[in-house]
Amino acid sequence: MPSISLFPRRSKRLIIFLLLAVFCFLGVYTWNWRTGALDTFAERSGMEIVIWTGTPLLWAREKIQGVWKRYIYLVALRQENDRLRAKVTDLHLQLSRLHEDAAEVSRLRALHSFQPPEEWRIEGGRVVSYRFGPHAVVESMLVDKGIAANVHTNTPVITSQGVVGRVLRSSANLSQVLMITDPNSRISAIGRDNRTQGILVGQGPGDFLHMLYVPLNDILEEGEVLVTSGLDGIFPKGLPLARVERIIRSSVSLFQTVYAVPLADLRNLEEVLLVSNVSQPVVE
Amino acid sequence: MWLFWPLFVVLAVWMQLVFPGMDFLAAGIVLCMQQERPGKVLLLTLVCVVIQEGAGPLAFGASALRYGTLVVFFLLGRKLFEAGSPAFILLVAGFFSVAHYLSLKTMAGLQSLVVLDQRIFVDSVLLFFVFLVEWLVLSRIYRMIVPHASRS
Repeated sequence: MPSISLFPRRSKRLIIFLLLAVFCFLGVYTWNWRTGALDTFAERSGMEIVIWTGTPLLWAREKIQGVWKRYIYLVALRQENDRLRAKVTDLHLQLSRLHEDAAEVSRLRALHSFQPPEEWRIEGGRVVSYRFGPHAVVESMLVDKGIAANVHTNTPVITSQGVVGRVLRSSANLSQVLMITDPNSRISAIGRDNRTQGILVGQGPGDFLHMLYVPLNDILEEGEVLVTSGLDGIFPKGLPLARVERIIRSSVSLFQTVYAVPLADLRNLEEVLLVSNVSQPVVE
Repeated sequence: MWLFWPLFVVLAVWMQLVFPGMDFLAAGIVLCMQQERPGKVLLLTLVCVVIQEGAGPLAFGASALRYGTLVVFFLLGRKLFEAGSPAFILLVAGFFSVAHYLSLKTMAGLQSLVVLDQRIFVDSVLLFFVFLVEWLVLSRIYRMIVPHASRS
């Protein structure tokens, strides 16, 4: 009498194969989670493939834009505009630092000694792409500067208007930037005028940023500019982040609900600045 | 002829640079499975995995899972359907977009990343159409370049 089986032999083999595949996948995933070996390999090689294969496209795009802007769109006016834009960018950055220095001076005038401001080194980079590839589940963009230009994980990315985000991962010539509008972005922020601190969190593209953990009694005004506090150890102190748009003080919560809009125009970025801290430790 | 697949990878990367959140490599893997030997399929899949993993924000594993399920589904489906039939490709595209949604949710969850559900859903739906259109265009070009190419 033939034996009756719930699964035919071929189905059994298939199920065993699938179980083995899942087991292998989880094993490799766990090993990589612990060591980061595959992540490092993939980001070094994958990002380099993207930048090398994408270079002709970027070159062509730049040339076409250049021809349009420089020859068809009034040569002299454009050059003048370029020069003035560069000047404005420089002045914006100087102004931002001066604001912070002025506030710091007034607070610390009574003190005998305080730390000098950190030295920043700024490197320009071109935006290559937004949300590259199918894994782009976070608000991110690729910038054509990497480890070769001293850009590493957590390097702050800014424009002359304000903070854009921070570097998530980088290869030799390409970096991936996590933008401040992403829900996974959390930045320690402080009000420029009233010095109220909180954590600025993204809510997605086109949505307000939320400033969390601002106690009900702390003073924060609508229209006040939020700057980086420097407490997170990633962003230098005093970079402009966002402007407070709306504040709700609820009687049922210990904290204020603060909505803010980013100062940088994050939708139409072509160039960004990458900020490296090159301050040397004080030798006594 | 040997230039077809390197050119495909370059053009797919260009398309991904222009269109945010899209996958232009998956349709090529399916076409490669229909037309080429397993060695070439393996090589192309490895290159695609490295590109997507390297330039994406997730930890290693998401594209291995996505392309792995695509390959397994294709190999199993080939036993039941004609590999080149439009109905089968429609089924593969549908399965792949569902797998895309589920695998990204799973992998982002494993990393404790906060993701916008609506965005992944929209990307998955768009991926379905991109996959179909790209496969149609690719297979036509492939047949033009390789006259003896199989229609199945």
